[in-house]
Amino acid sequence: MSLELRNIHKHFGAVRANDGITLTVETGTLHGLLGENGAGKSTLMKVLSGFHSADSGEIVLDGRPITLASPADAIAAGIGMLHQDPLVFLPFNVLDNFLLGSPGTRRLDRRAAASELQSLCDRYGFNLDPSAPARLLTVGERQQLEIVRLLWLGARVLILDEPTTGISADQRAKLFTTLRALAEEGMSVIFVSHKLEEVADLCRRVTVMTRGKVVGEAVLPTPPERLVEMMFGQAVEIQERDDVALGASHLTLERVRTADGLLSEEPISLDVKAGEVVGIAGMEGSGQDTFLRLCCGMRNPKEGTVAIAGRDLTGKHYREYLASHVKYLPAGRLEEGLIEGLTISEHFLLAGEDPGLLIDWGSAHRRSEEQIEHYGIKGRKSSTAESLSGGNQQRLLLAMLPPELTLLLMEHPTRGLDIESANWVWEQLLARRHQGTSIVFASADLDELLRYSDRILVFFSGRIIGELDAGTATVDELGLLIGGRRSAAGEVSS
Amino acid sequence: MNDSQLILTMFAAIGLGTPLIFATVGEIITERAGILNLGVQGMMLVGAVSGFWATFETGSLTLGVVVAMIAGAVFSLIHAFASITLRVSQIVSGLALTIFGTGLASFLGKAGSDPLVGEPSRETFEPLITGGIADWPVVGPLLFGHDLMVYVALVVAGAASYYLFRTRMGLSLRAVGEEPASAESAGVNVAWVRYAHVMVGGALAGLGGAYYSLALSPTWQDNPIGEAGWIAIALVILASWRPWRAIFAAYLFGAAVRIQFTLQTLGSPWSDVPSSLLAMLPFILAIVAMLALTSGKRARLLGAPAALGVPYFREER
Amino acid sequence: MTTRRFIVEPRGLASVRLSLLIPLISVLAALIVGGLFLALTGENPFSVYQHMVDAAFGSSRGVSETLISATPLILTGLAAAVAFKMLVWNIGAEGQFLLGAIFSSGIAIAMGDGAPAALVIPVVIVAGGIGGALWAGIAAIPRVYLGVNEIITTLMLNFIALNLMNYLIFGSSSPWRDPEVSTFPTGRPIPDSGRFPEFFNRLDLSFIIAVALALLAWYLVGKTRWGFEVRVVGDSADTARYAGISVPKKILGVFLLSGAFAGLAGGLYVAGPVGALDPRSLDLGLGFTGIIVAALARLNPVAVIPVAILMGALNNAGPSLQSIGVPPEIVLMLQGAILIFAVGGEFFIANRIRPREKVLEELSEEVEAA
Ligand SMILES: Nc1ncnc2c1ncn2[C@@H]1O[C@H](COP(=O)(O)OP(=O)(O)O)[C@@H](O)[C@H]1O
Ligand SMILES: [Mg+2]
Repeated sequence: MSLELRNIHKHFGAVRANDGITLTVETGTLHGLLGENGAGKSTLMKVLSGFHSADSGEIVLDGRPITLASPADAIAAGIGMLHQDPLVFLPFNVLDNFLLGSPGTRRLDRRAAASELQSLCDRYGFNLDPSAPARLLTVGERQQLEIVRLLWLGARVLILDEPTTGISADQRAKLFTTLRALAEEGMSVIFVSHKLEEVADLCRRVTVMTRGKVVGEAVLPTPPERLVEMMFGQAVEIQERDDVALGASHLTLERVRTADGLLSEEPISLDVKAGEVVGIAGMEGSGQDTFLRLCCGMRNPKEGTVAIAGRDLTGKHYREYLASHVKYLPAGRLEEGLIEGLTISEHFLLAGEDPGLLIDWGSAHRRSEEQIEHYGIKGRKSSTAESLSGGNQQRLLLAMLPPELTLLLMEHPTRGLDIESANWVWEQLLARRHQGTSIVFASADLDELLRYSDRILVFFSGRIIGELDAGTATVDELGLLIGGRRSAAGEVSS
Repeated sequence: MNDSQLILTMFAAIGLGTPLIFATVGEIITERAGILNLGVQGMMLVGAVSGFWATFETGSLTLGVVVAMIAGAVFSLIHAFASITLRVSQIVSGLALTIFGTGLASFLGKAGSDPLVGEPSRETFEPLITGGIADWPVVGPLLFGHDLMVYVALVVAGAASYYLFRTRMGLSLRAVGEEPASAESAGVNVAWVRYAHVMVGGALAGLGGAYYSLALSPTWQDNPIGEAGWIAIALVILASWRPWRAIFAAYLFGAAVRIQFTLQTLGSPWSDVPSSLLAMLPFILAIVAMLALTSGKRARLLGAPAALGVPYFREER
Repeated sequence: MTTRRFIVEPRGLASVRLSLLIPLISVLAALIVGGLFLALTGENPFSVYQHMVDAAFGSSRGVSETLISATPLILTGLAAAVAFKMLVWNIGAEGQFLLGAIFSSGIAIAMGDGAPAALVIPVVIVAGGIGGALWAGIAAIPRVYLGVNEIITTLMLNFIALNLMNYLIFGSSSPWRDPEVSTFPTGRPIPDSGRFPEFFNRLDLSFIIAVALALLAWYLVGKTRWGFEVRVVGDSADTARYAGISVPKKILGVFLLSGAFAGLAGGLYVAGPVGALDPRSLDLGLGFTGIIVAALARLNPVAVIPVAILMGALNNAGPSLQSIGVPPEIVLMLQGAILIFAVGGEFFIANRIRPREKVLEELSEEVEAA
């Protein structure tokens, strides 16, 4: 099926996510869509799969313009999409998930569907148990389920939005094999990624997007420098980290274990020094967030002790940790941590630790003026959060961090940011180390982990299965560990 | 309490539980689609008055039932529009439906030159079978002595169970109530599914209301249904969102209502139990059930739809 | 390819003009709906509405009765407004109102005739607030510490409270019941020392107190740190949690405060116009009407005052319609319709709806400007 997108526009508020995009995908091709985070790839694909309705533009399928008012329309037209956001699966078993949205008579014929599922799985070498609860599947298995379902629904165009985030190297290899096979069979596959290597490895053609526009197209293979140049204009400088001397222990975990669920099997011990940066790697849901919550008192351990700067805070409330200058920024906080309707001053009021009954507006205004100046936020102290541009919202968020900080815990500090903003964020974070702040962060971006950490802890199904020295480890080593293989090089933590 | 009073109580409990089955099953279906409708009371009253009126005008019970269901469904559209299309607070919108419906039913019953209020119904539901097997001791009246709607209620509950768990539409419906975004990306039309099932809920509530005005107290009066709509909302929880369990929950409540009268007939000391304390029982039971069954994580195990009460908008993230 | 002729976008901050305009339109729309029903049943809507205005505002007596009706609505409106602002769905103001009435009348009767009014009146008022807060606590504590949905529990507690009152008056010879009336039981009048003096026809101090409490609520929510943190929790509980605000305590506090407002309504009603725990004067749906007040006032404590007066006027005018042969329930219909339009109107306050061409035009102009 040949597919053409003509002059697609889509805006969200002040953001032009898609600004006149034209794109052609040929039958039986693996077509890459490459671009930095925030380039507008997901938006374009959501328009193509009926999730968003474009402001203007045309979608032409096999020479005929089509109207997609809903995802159901898109599926009827043969367009199916695997979404980027962690796939949320229904609390049904695999078979019922497979059946969802399927055509046919009114009655559910589970038997027939099961054999259909089986034959599709056999064909692509997947191994899915129809009666297993879908929530127990790994991310890779969920993708497999999603793919066979879309095939069964008659998809001829398959969109995969950043499918390699959170899956192991093994699963990625298997996914790529499947996608190649599908393209052989005449399926058009659109592979969306911000990772150049993956697109170069897999695709026949590639379209590059930046800031809502198409900036180049190429037939692969092509020299990677050309793609980099298209993506970034000119080669970008990565924020480099300087070395700081490590100080006293800021976070000490001793034989910590939770009562149930993740991290309940093997006790964890860890010592993080002042100025140290520890990266947390692993597939989504391997225990990283439980771990971070243990470190800041949002979750209590069943056994073991947690100490901050030498003081035992085991079992204490999160607010005690805050008082000891520990701060936790969960995923999404950097993008969504601001509150609509509150002004910059009010945000600082929130961040401050003023215990009084009445509001001390004077000091809140003073602090916000100082910080606006210091972080170069373009806005006034009475500006509401949503009136700021994205970059300035980032600045505000970082400015809201307390001035004195012993330990900073973060999830995905730069997810969803373009490269410049990500650099800026890290510049701020790394500067904090000079005042002795320790940083522990979880990320799915292997480059980010290797670039900014001193060492990396790798989580796998609720345990730490390895620790790597970020200075010497390679992407491959890290990938293997994340996939669950204990490498010889990395020492396995107790 | 002697045997005949026990049988009488059970017999009456089945009758009193019947409208609650309709309303509860309707609300279960609505909530399974992720929409909380606190307008049950209003929809039942609108069904009660319109069903009564239709039978009063035409002498046909069938027409009365059909009109009540249509009226309930149409009336529920207000809530559907507010919660699905406008995505405003489902709680407030449901309450609005109840307030408006309560006023509307009373108003229509009293308005005009020849008001309905005080008029007996021209037709009422009568037992299907008299004599024969219905006279068998004990099981006769309990199993065979009821009017048609009692059996229809059982069929409705059974059919709803089958629909939810054995049909494609039922699967889509449950998916929409759990995870609208995932359901949508699987090609389910979320808005359509929600609209349709809010209306199914409205139709069943209307039917339940009509059972009061055409069977249980077949003379038009202000609010013939008491607090039935509110009780149905509590029963959804007791039935843990499973239609067939609604049968037992509804009969149990029917018995709790009826027992007040039974005690009166038993003489001292039974008749000294104050009826207002007994009238509290169903509501206390509902709260106890809430505490026991829905605290913390157990609510999920019970079957409460994950997206219940949460507005869904495709283009939001 | 796009079929949509209109684009719906979130507006961010609502404009002041709209937040005034939309509630006004809601009321107008409700009047039109009510008028249609009146016309269908052979009445002239204009003369009916004229009659209602006259009854509510046409005489000094009408005005004072309207304000008396508005008094409990100010407080039940506040109860809903502070709770809903924080997404605490307390729909049990009805029951909390009754418990407030039970507590106030109980303490007034217990204190007896001898105590000085200067002591009894404050005690009676405070007792009402405590009664309401305690009753709310039955739902609030499970909600906060066990995660039990408060919508159903507060709702059920309404009916328990109603039956409790019935029990005290009809089902037992409790101290609340008037021992002198035996045929159809009623509440025992509270001592005069617990009653407010009247100053404008039957209007008494309770109206002034209700208005003062509304202003206090506005100050509390808008100007104090506590109120600020409550707003943050209402906007985003997660953000508040990471900022170190104790979310459970805030929710509990708001829940109890909401219950206390409803209980105060009951207390003031007993110490004011009713003077006894009287089921016939207290079971009026004042709690649910409070939700209408809060919704139309857009949860603003000060706006609650005029809106409560409007609803009070409707309640006051209702019974007088019987004299012209119109069912007084038209009032309930109007109130229900007002709530429907007010809640629907929230969509238009929160979103901007513009024709697609216009949006596109604006976007291209921006490009040229840049
Ligand atoms: N639903 C939405 N509401 C508001 N802004 C959005 C929405 N979806 C995406 N955006 C914004 O549009 C831009 C493009 O986002 P996206 O398409 O997700 O990029 P990509 O997938 O290339 O990383 C970003 O600036 C993002 O913040
Ligand atoms: Mg994306």
